[in-house]
Amino acid sequence: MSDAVGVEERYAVFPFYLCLDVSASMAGAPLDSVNEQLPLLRSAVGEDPAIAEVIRFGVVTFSDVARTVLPLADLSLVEVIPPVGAEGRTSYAAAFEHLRRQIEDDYTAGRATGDKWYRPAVVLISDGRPTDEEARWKAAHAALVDPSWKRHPNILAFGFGQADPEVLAAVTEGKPNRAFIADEGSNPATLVPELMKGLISSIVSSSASVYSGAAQLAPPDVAGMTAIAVDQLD
Amino acid sequence: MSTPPATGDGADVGAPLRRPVLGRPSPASDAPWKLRQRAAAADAAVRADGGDDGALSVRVASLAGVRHRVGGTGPEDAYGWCWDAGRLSLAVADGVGSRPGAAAASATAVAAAVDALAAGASPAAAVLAASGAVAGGEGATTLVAATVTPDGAVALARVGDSTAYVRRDGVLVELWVDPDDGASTATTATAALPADDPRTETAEVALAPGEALVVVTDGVGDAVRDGPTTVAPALAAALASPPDPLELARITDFSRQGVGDDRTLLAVWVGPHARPEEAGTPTGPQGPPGV
Repeated sequence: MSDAVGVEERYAVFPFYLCLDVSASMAGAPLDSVNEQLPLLRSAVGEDPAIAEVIRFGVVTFSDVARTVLPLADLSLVEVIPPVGAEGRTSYAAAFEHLRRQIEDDYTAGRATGDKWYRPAVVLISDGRPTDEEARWKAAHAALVDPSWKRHPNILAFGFGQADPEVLAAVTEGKPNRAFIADEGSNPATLVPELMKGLISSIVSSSASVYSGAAQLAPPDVAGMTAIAVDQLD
Repeated sequence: MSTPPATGDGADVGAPLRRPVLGRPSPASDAPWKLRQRAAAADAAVRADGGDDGALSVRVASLAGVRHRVGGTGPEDAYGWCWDAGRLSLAVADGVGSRPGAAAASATAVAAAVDALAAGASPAAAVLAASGAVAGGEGATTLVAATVTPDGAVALARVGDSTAYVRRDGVLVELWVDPDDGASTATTATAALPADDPRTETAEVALAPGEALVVVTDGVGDAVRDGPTTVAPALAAALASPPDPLELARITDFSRQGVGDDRTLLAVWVGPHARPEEAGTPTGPQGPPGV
């Protein structure tokens, strides 16, 4: 944008996007839990000045379409995170295409006000397989994680219900400790709160790493979920 | 009733200490400090020191970052120097990450580097000595090791993202080029000790009288780079001549959004401006109150 590096004031921020599956199967306990837990996340992050100062948090939902329900924000300035409701199918392509546009837009807007981004983090939560054609969601995914796009995010993926470990491993580019699947027989009503707690601890640890001068995405430890081994890729 | 208590003759303690705001303020900067479970002088959240010896002056401020202060943990930066036989040996280090042992690693590296320099080692050799010393522990650390002689000759070596400047013509000139090419997304990798083959960078510079060498950890260096119209000029102004150590600590504790890392700034002046000039006030142990 500007060649004037060295004269512009810049402020380090760490953007986190929650990318939430709101397909019909998420109705009931899973989304009820999310709606109960989001205010806790808002207060845990927003009311701690040392965390809120460096974290920017946004919520994107996807079903047949994807939309931004909470624009990327400083949670100390957010009064309410809007509740999410179940919609239609499970288009991973819609989610990835939307994220790519949203991240670029948010980066451009933040850059104009002096934000200096650490690599954004996307936390995908899904209970299903993509309902789009494989070629379509894979192309959208490739554009999102394209290494030549400087803002390409690090992705954490959490699956339960009908989510497919192979798909989640592909979404997280086969990186170790980035994709997690619910243990056999787990109940979404207890799992989702654990997941949201894990997301909070991930944000808190990640903000601490910003302060130590070496920001990194800290994967959470979620009771009832297991990291998908890299060798499950194929 | 509501009359404030008299402070008595000469007992005016002045205005409350305020940290300067440089850029967007940091709410966390003003948050209360959590009472630490254990604390000792060596890992105090605020350390300030300095001294003058003829043609050479040293000042240092080393502060626990906001995150450590509100979290009830100690700083992981360390510094040290040895003034001996006409040569100042100094080191500044930043324990890496929040792993256990980070504070011990930086302290060990500084002690080993200063010992090696004082024994005549080059800065690059001192880095190797420090690497060996921290190899037995759990933690990792950055390091800048340097020697300064009163004629202004400075030799330095570093591993990692701690850095150094010369204060020259009123501005801070960084001695090493930042590997970040101005890329839009911040880079986070840092080289550290211990390492079998440390990525050591060296530099030599000659200080003219009145100029200062300024060695910092990234808690200061990143803010100087990201605050070219705020942090950089404020620190450069504060270092025009050797400030009172407490004043240097106050300025180094500036409030700025997102700058919550430990901060260490060690400065050395040579030449006629090394000692604070007496400016119409009775000679005392304090320098002029900033610029």
